[in-house]
Amino acid sequence: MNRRSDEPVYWGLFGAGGMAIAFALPALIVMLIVCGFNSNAMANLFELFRHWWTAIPLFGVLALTTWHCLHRIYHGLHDLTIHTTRLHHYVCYGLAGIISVVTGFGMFLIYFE
Amino acid sequence: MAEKIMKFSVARYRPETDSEPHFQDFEVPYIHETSLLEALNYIKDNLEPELSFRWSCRMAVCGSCAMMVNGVPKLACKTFLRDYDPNKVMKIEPLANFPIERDLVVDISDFIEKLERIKPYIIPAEKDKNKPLTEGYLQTPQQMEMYRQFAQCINCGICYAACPQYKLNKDFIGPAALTLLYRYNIDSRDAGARERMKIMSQDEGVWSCTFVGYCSQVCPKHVDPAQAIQLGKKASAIDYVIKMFKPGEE
Repeated sequence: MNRRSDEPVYWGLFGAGGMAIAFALPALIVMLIVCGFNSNAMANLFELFRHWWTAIPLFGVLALTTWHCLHRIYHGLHDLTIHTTRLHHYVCYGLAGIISVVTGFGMFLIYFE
Repeated sequence: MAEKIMKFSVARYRPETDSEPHFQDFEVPYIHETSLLEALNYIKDNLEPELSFRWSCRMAVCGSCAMMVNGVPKLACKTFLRDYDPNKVMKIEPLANFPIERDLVVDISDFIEKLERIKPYIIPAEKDKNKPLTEGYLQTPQQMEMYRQFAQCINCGICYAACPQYKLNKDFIGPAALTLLYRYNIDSRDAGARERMKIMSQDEGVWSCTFVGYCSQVCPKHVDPAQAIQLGKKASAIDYVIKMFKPGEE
């Protein structure tokens, strides 16, 4: 009963993800849509993201977005009267962790092949 | 001015005869100024003397007359019949999320127990303990403004009836108690923040809140418990990081 909650960690990632979704993700989507009409522009966009100084923030946005979404789903389950247990906790945040690692590894392979 | 008639469907439950709550219909004449509390007193005086409900001050100060009006938690004294459609029936039920004692009376002891647990009073610092009463605790208007809004709580329990998280998990400390916890923690005269932080940082503390915000919408005193809880989350998260670097303390 008196145990300290570890929620600040997930709430922190959730908050950072919220900022990423609000500011960075729409800009990324707009860039992809605009460049999608022109193959030269798309090539330039890929070229831009080949640099480590753009790749690392891009990874940050993608990973934080994942943590944000899975945090929402985890707490959304509670609102849908599904009583969450440690299992739900491990599944949701474990999935966020796996997606982050796979994304990071995939990006590493693409950028630093 | 001609009197209008409002139709009521009031929840009844007498534990000695009823196995579960049921509804009883009443018709009450009203004028522009008639409050729901006055309507209930009219029913008790003229139609059904056995109807039980709590009330005291008639002016949104005591917090006794909280109940569900058409499914929304409200103070009966602050609810006026003129704001409701006279062609429809007003449905009056006891405050949600609390066990019913009798008719519209609920048992709020769970809330009271949580309120006691968060120590809703000023805990003086060691150096202030033997201060003569004449010295008092000086506070600037700015320092008071920090917590003034959160200190308006009248402990009516309306935010507990509105909270979907409290509905699902009765271990949740809940909106009003967490708001008062935060209110005392940010009071410049108080030195009990360490003790209260332990309660706030549990899973059953601020972290059970998912910021639905209905508590702030229904609060009759505009306390905004949802804001106090979000500020509490921030304070608890900062404390969590500090504890990571200073694990020995506690």
